[in-house]
Amino acid sequence: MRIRDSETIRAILGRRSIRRFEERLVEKEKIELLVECGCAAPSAANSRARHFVVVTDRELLNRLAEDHPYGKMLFEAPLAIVVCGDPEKSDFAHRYWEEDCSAAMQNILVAAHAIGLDGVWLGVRHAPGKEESIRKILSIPNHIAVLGIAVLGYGKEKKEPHQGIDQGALHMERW
Amino acid sequence: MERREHPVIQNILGRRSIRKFTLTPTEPGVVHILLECAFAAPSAHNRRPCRFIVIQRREILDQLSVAHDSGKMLAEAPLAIAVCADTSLYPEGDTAWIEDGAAALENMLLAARALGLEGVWLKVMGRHPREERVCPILKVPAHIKVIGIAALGYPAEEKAPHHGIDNNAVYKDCWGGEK
Repeated sequence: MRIRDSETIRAILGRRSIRRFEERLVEKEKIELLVECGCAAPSAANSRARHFVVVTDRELLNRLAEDHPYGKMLFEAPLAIVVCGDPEKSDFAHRYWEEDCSAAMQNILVAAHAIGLDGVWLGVRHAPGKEESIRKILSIPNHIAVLGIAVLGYGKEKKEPHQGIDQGALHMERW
Repeated sequence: MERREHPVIQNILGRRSIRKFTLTPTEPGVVHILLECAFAAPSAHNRRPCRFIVIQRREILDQLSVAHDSGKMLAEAPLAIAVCADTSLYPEGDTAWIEDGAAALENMLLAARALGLEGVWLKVMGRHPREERVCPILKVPAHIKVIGIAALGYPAEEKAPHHGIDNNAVYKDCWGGEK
C-alpha cells in the first residue's frame, strides 16, 4: 500500500471546508464520537481545559447564523459543536488553551470527514465582538473563552482533496 | 463495523504523547506526507501563515534536546518538525495564526501515527527562557514565531488509547444544558 493510501492520510488530505449541507440530521452516536475525538487531542501538561457545546436546536442554530458574519451555513447545518476553553483552569490552560482547543477542533473535523460528515471551522475568537454575542446566545459564562464553531452535517458539495506543499514555506534543518 | 472501529477514529483515539523512540531513521517519503498533511489544515481566511523547519541532523536535534527543558526525547528522536507562523501577514496584536499552526501540528501527529511513527507536541512559544533558547538554534527571524515542535520517531513505548469524554465538558444546546 502506498503510504498516501492510508485512511487517516486520506481523511486529513480530503477534509475541505464544506458549507452546504443536506437536511439529514446527524446521529447522536456520531456526535458523541466526534466529541470523544475532540477530547483525545493533546493539551499542555494534560490541562484538558476545554468544553464543548453541542447545538442541534434549529432556533439556536439560526440565531448563531444571524449573529456571525460568515455563519450563513448554520441556517442549513444540522449540527454545531462550539469549542470553548477555560483559561482560568490552570497556568498551562491560561497560556495554551487556544492551541489545545485548536487541536481538539481539528480532531473533530478530521473525524467528521472520516465518518461521512463534512463541515467548516468557523472562527470566533478573532472575529471582533463575536465571542461576546455567542456567549449570550448559548449562556456561556464570561470566564470561558470561545475558540470557534465546528459547523457540521452531511455535505452537499464536493471539493478535491488537498495536495502538495506551499511554495517557500519549507526549511531544512534551520530557517 | 462499529463506528469507533473506523481506522481514522482509532488513529485519533490512539494518538498519545510518546517520548521514547527506537534509533530507526524515518523512511524516505514520510516527511513529505507529514508536511502535506500539515498544509492540509485549514487556516483562517486561507491566509496560510504556517512555515515548517524539518530537523533531521543529529547535531541540531541534540542541541534542541538541551535547549528545550521538556525536550530530552529529541536526543533519541530521528525527526523533529518545528511549526512556525509568519506573523508579518497579520496586523499588530492579531494572533489568529496560533490556531492555524496548532491545527497543522495536530494533523502531523495524526498522520505520523498512521505511518507507524509516534511523537509528542512540544510547546515553544509563550515559555521563557525556553523560547529564547530554542529560536537561535533554528535561526528564525524576528517575525517568525515558533509555535511548537513535533518530536517524531518509531515508538519504543506503548500507551492505551484515549477513551470517553472529559467530565462536565459537554453541554447540549447551551452552557449547562442536559449532557
